[in-house]
Amino acid sequence: MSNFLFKGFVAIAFSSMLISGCAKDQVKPDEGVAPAASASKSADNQASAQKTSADQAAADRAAAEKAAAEKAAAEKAAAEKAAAEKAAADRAAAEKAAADRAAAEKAAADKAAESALKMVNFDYDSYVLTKPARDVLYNNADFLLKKYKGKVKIEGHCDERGSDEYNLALGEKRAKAAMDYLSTLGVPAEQLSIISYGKERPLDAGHTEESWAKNRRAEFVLVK
Amino acid sequence: MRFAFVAVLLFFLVCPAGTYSQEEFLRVTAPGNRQLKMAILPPVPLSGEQNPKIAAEIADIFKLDLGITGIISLTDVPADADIILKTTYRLSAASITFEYRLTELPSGKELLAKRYSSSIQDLRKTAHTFSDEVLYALTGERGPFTGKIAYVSTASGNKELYLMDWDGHNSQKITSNGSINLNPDFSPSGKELIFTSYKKQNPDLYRRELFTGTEARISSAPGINITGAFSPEGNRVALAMSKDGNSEIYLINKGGKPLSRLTNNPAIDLSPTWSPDGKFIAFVSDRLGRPQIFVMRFDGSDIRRLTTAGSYNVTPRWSPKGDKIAYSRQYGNNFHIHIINPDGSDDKQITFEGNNEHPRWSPDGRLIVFSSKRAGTESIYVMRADGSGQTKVSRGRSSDSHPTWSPRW
Repeated sequence: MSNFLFKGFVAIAFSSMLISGCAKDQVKPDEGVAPAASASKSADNQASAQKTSADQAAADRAAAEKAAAEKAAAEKAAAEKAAAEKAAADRAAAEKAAADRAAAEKAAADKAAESALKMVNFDYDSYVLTKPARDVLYNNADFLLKKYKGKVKIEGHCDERGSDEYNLALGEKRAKAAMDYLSTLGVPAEQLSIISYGKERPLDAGHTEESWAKNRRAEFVLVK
Repeated sequence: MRFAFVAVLLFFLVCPAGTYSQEEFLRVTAPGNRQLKMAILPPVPLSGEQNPKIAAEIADIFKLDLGITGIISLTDVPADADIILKTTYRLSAASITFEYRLTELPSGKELLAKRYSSSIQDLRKTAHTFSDEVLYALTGERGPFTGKIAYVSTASGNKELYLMDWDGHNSQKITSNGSINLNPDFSPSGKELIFTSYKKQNPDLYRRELFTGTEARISSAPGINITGAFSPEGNRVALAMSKDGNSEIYLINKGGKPLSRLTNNPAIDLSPTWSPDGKFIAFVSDRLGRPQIFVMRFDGSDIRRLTTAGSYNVTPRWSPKGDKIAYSRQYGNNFHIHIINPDGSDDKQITFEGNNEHPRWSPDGRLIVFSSKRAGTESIYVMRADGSGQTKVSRGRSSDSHPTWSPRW
């Protein structure tokens, strides 16, 4: 009977060591649990019974400590994970805030550019820059060099009177005249592009000299 | 005189076409020459009741087609006529069969007889087909009336391409890209259209197959890709591009592969048009200050000035007959259409009312289709090559312009 108890106790102690996963002390399965072989049988029984409960308590304590250690480790891991997630969320929020600020700044800059970049007008059937046109382009170049780095497209337009096909080419010459003038003032080529709409997109649908004068233009639009 | 005329026509009927010279056919090309008097009899059903709508429709088609040729004058009095056009028809639930007969008077000899069947909605085409055959019988040259006209219309709000019968019926929308679509030109087969579109945010040249609807972008160089013109053999396109600094004329193949550069000049060069033999190209250039029309060889050599009067001459189109070039000249704020010989002689103004531009020829060279604002909104008109018979053909209420006439479909 005691033999059976010994073996059972050994089994419990050994398996609790295995479960705890650490074998710091290379306790041999039989050490500390096997009674002295020379003890008398009854004394042995009594001593081993006492030893069994003490060992049992020790094993219980070890098991409890292990469980506590596991719980602490798990809690620590969870806390670290939560901290990492919070950090990532904070970073994302910071990035979004930065992006929103940048977008707002860009929107404000675009709005300022749309207002600052004025169109220029041309004489009938001509793509030559007049003096007033050159003055406007000078101011546009100044704005682009100092305050705006976004891409700008220059549209060339004509009034309704000429032939559509020829006006597509004439509109392009107007846009190019404006672009070339800005280039000579130092605006980088990569920032500028041109397109012609001929007489297809009048600003003013009227049929008077005033309407026609408004429609003969090179207009600045931002490339979104 | 009448006997000789009948003898000529009978000779034609007995012998297959092509075995005798052109002089055997009537050559009446301008009003004032001897015209044939034709009476178009109201169509008659072979059985059942008259369908007045169909009868009127067919009679109207013949009156317009044959009246605009210039070689036929219409009369309501059959007894006065040289020839009579008789129509009988048999109408069933989904189809209709016509028999058209051309009969000489007073002998009663039948000069031409054809039978056509079609669905009810295609019946107009049978009459146009017979009109083409009547012209062939009378002159040796088939008429253009089964061809389609492609044009630009703002009917849907923006400029899209449309097709219609030459007389304005059966209009159908071809493009629907919501952008700006300009300057259609047919391939010689009539199966393809090239045109300029801004649908990809730049004026690029597209080629569209009309029966499948497939479209290919064949020129998208930076700058303009405009005024594309199919070559007479149908494999090449001449167009204006500004990719090398300013608008010049280039040749590409119809798939878009670059072939050669034809002009090299700081001026604006554009609007090429081919001679029917493919040897010459007329085009617009402002190299002398304002736009004038020039002619060069197909390889860009031998450039000479064509128009020497007027200060703004544009939109040239070479007649399929090779003997005339039509173009638009600016007068103040208006345009009028002119025709001129390819050597620069005999420059003639042929429109006088309102604003008239963009002349293009019917495939047989008898007629000119053009845009006119004479009645207010821009519409499409047709006239004879000498400027007579000016008739509005477009039927919409929107602005219709830039017509171009296909070969027979």
